[in-house]
Formats: sequence, C-alpha cells, structure tokens
Amino acid sequence: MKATTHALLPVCTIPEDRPLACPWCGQLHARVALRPGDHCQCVRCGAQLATGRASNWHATLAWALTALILWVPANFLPIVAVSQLGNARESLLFTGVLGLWHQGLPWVAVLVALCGIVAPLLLLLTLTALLTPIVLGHPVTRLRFLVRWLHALELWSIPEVYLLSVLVAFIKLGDVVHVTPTAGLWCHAGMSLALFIAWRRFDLDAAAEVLTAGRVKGAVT
Amino acid sequence: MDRTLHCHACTLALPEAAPAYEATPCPRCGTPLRRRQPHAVERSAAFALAGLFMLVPANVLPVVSTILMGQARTDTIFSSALALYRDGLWGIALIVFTASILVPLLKLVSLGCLLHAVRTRSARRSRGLTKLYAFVKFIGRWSMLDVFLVAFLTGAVQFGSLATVRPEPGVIAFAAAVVLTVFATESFDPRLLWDANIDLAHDRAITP
Repeated sequence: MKATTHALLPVCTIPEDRPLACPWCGQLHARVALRPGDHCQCVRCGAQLATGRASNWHATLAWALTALILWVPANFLPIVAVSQLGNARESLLFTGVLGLWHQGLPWVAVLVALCGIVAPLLLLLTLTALLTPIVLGHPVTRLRFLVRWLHALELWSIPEVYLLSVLVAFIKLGDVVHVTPTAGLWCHAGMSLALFIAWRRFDLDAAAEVLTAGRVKGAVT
Repeated sequence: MDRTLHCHACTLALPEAAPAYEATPCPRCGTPLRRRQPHAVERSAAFALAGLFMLVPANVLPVVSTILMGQARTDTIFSSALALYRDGLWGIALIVFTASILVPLLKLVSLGCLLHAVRTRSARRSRGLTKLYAFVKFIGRWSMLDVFLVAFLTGAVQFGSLATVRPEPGVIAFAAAVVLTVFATESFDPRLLWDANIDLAHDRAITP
C-alpha cells in the first residue's frame, strides 16, 4: 500500500524533446536552429525569445568578472569630491547610506544599500559561481538552486539608476557647490555597463540545462 | 484549460503537465512549479492599492531640505522638479518629473488596466497588454532615482551652515511606494492575460 502511494506522488521529469516556453505568455514553441543575426519572436505575444547568437560562456564570464573586479574600486574609492569655499569632502557610495542612517531613516538606508551595493555584488557572485565551472567544463549540479535567486537579484540590482541620480546631482549642484567626479564614479559606470552586458548575454535556459546535464555540450568529458 | 506549464525561474517548459505537478519542485532548478502565480490578481491589487495610498504622503510631504549659502528651503518631489525647470535645467527637470511622478502613476494605471482585463476575462488586446506589462516591469526601477538622489546629496553635501542637505519624511513614503509597486508588478502573472483566449479557442473548437 505504501509503495502505491509513493508511485502516485507526482514526480516531474524533464521532457526529452524540450519545447521553449515564452517567459511572458507561456506559449510553447518547438526549437529550431537559428543562424547568426536571426531573431525569434513568440507567435502569440510577440516577445523576443531567442537570437541566433550561440551562448558564449567565456565571453559572459569575462563580462561578469570584469564587473566583479570593478565593484571593488566602485565601492571603496570616492565617487565624488565636493568642495565649498575651501572645505573639501570626498564621498563614497556608502557615505549616502550612512547619511540616511544617521539622519533617522534606517529603512531607506537599507533599501539604498541593497539596490546600489549589495544586490549587484550578489548577482555578480552568483553569475560567476554558475559560469566558472561551466567554462571549466565541469558544471556543478549542486549550484542549480542559485538559478532561483537570479530574478530577484536582478530585480533589485539597479546600479545604473544610482549613476543617473549622481549625474542629476552634478547638474543640480553645479553652480552652488563644486563637484568633481573621481575614480570611483568611473569604476561604478564600468561596473554597471559590464553587469548589464553580462546579464544580457547570460542564457538562463541553456545554463540551467547544462547544470542539470552535468556536462557542457562539445566539451571533452 | 491550458495544460502547459513552465517554471517561473528557469523557463523549463512542461507541455502536458498534470494538475498534480502544481507546487512540486521544478526538476531542473527546484523552484516550486506554478501553472499561474497563486492569488496573482488579489496580491497584485493589494500591493498596488497600498502603493497608491503611499503616493499621497510621498507627494505631499517634503522629501529633502537644503541649506545653501545661508538660505534654507524644503522641497517636495514636485517642487524640486519645478525648481530645476525654473533654473533653466528643463532636461533634468523632465527626467526627475518622469521618474518620480509620471512613472509611479503610469505603473499604477497600467496595473489597473491589466487587473481589469483579467477580472473581466477579456480576450481582446492580450498582445498589447502583455507588452504593457513588459514595459511596466522595465520602467519600474527608474523610480528609485529620487531615493538615490536624496541619499547621494545627504552623504556628499555636509558643510554645516554653508551647505547641508537633510532627508525629510517624504522619502520614506516615496521609497515605500516604489517598493510596493515593484511587489505589485512582480505578483502579477502575465499568463493570466491569455487564459480567456485559450478558453475561447477551446469553445470554438468544440462548437463549430
């Protein structure tokens, strides 16, 4: 009796001939070979599903690592030098967070730290952790759970919005306080750009497939 | 009924999924499988309403107070955009106005349209509404501009009586409104927009 109950429990297996689901409307599509430059759209809602570019794990990892390395100076070097009548002050990304915290807005400070500093770092660490073993030819199946966090991390990591707010502040302060961009700001801009490219190039479906199969197609096993 | 199912996290598609697969872990990444996000309409509507209520104090209360050259002033979101416009910086004023006032309102109106279409089981304009949802998801993050701006100014401009920027309680309400509208967008399931079409096609197939 116990065995029967066990057999009735739904055990989901991966279909052999895997269709492609539109992430927006759920419409299923058969997979076709695409040539470079091809774009494939959902037949029902028109969202772009795939492009003819093969998933290049090396290039994606290179962009993720670039962003990860740039994250360090972007957060530990001052992003601006502000001077007012001879008083000069250098400001880190974290200075704004501390400022909000000390002015009695701890929750807003946490939100800013999360969106501008922590989420980009976690997203980059996750991408690197998933991609490095794939590039080395030995995907780590145990890391599959990281796929679950990717969307949430991507949702809250918005370094480019922080960058725009700094630009707005430059123009706003322009004639009253003297503001000079410093090395940290350029590193932050580079980090945002590299993160954007890495995320755009990351093929989530292919990565999940490689991680499940435990081997990279075409790699020597 | 639509029998297809795809994993929300890794997009693995299961063409003939049994209803029993609901809430079982995805065989590929382990995320619980959901044919549609549970209580998508209720959750999305609740978050959107909360966001709408939060927008009132966010726009009425001051968000930032500045002391520059001995002159003190307190600004709401709208008045700071207006001040930029008066200073002749209309481009920046437009960016601030769009990101802080227009985007949150557009998001809530769009979410209202999406929820109305699902509630009334409308089979029309599903394609346009799906595109609208994708757009709402894309623009949502830019509303954080004002929160970041206040954070940056608070950290960078601290020169005592010469030049000081202080955050005001309006920022809390504004940040809460942004976070709540993001939750509202994420709770919604765009696959719901196509259910009426699927049922319609099914009815047509059995009654020619």
